[in-house]
Amino acid sequence: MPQVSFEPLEEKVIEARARALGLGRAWSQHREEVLAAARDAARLGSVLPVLDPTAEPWPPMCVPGSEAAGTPEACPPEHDE
Amino acid sequence: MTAPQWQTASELALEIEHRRVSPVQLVEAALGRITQWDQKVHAFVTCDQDGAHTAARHAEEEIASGRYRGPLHGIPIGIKDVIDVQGLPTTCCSRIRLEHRAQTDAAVVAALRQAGAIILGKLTTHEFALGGPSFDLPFPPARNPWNFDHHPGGSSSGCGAALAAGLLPLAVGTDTAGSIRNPASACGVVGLKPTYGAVSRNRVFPLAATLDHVGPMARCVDDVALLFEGMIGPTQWERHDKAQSARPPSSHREVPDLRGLRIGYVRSFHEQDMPADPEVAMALDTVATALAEAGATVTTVPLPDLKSFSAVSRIILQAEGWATHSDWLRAHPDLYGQSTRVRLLPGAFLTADDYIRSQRIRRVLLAAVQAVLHEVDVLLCASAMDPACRLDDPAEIARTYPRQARTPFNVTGHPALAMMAGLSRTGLPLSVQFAGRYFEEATVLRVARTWERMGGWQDRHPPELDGVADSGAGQKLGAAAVTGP
Repeated sequence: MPQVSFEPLEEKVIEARARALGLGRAWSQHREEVLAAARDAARLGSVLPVLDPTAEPWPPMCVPGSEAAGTPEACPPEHDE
Repeated sequence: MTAPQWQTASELALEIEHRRVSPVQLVEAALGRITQWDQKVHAFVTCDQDGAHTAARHAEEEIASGRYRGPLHGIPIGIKDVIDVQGLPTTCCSRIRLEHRAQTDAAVVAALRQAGAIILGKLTTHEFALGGPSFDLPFPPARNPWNFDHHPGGSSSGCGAALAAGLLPLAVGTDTAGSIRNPASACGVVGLKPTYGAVSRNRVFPLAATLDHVGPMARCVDDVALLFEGMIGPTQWERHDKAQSARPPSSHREVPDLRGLRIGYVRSFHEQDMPADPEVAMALDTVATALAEAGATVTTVPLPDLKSFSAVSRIILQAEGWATHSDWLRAHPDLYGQSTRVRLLPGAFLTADDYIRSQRIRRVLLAAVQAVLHEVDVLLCASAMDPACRLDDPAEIARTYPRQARTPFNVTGHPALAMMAGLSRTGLPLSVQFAGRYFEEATVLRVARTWERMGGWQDRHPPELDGVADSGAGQKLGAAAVTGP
């Protein structure tokens, strides 16, 4: 997969984002961890390839009986309760 | 003669069925062993002595009156502490859940009770099946019975440690990114992550809903098959292909014949993507050679790069984990252990685009594995790339934790089993992994059973715990029979 470089996120941007996400308390108590988490998430997202939005594969949508349509991989088998 | 603590569940079932051993004796023996060793192993969060005694007496009465339920009847079992057992706390080894009490049994626990199994207690997990090993939680981390200074793997750490220490013969774990197969690998036992959805997750605390699996762990392959059958119930078992060959009689010790079976050896995982410790690589080659000698056709097969599986797995796990924990993380971040918190927090910053793209790429990866499994029946590959590291070495834990090839099968949902492949020069277990087609656990178990019997690993136990006479009840095993008709 292509490696995409990214600029480390600015601390103020991360703080604003964390507070908007309701992580104000975590920011106050564990600031370094929140900074690392935001940067880790940006890095994680950046390694994924870009996919053609008009073509398969799409995210799985489980429809009972989809196995019969020949796409069992779209619908991981679930336990019958 | 096998020492009582190392007897398999399949052997014990025969003893119980023929009334040479009673469930009460078994429970007392297990409790004696737990009293003797768990202060070092730390496998148990909750040991339900009263509940186990009551259930054992009930089982004994049933068997004595001729109502034998089957091979799990009267067998003690441990449950990972993220799975509900009625009346007991499901702490998830977290401060956040210390006051919890389960109102009902998880579906898998109910199925095992129905089969007559005796719930002995709840077993240590990394916090919420994610963090760890951690020393800042209300419970100490489990330790590896092969060397108490070393990591037992996780997150089903108590399951692996309890089995390897001979505290019980069967355990139920969960596996979201390898958490059954990691402790199986580190502790030299057998762990099966079944097909996604094969075992109910009803009343099991989730980590990542589309990656979570519940599965069996034991000291031998036959016991894993026995427990798996009990977990899914006889009706569900019929759905599984080749069910009849999954659990041969326990007295059947000869090496199965693998002629006609095609095994794909995924060398790229441990040779290119993530070069393994040389001892691990050598052990994997030994397994491949042995299975070829048993009649299988072993060929090298390609799969996508481990890094692709890993990236997709992390994003899905962290996004779904955040969805579960967001309220608690916002309100009480300080109640989490540090290791768990730093693994959960990135999920807050992932975007919908990250998650959706991961799920789409997941389907590409799944299709690649499916294509290979059209050509071969079973995949052979690495589980852990290294023997277990020291528990008190956070840098080494951080280095070795991602060095594994287990997450691919959480991403795809294929059944996968990890077991012992040898011992390192330092006396720690080395491991191998087998994966198969959806619902073809029986074929995976057949290959695993072949390797087990060729390697003789089911008879190897941690030296410090092997040959040590049990104090108390353990010595009484087999001394008396259940009375009755």
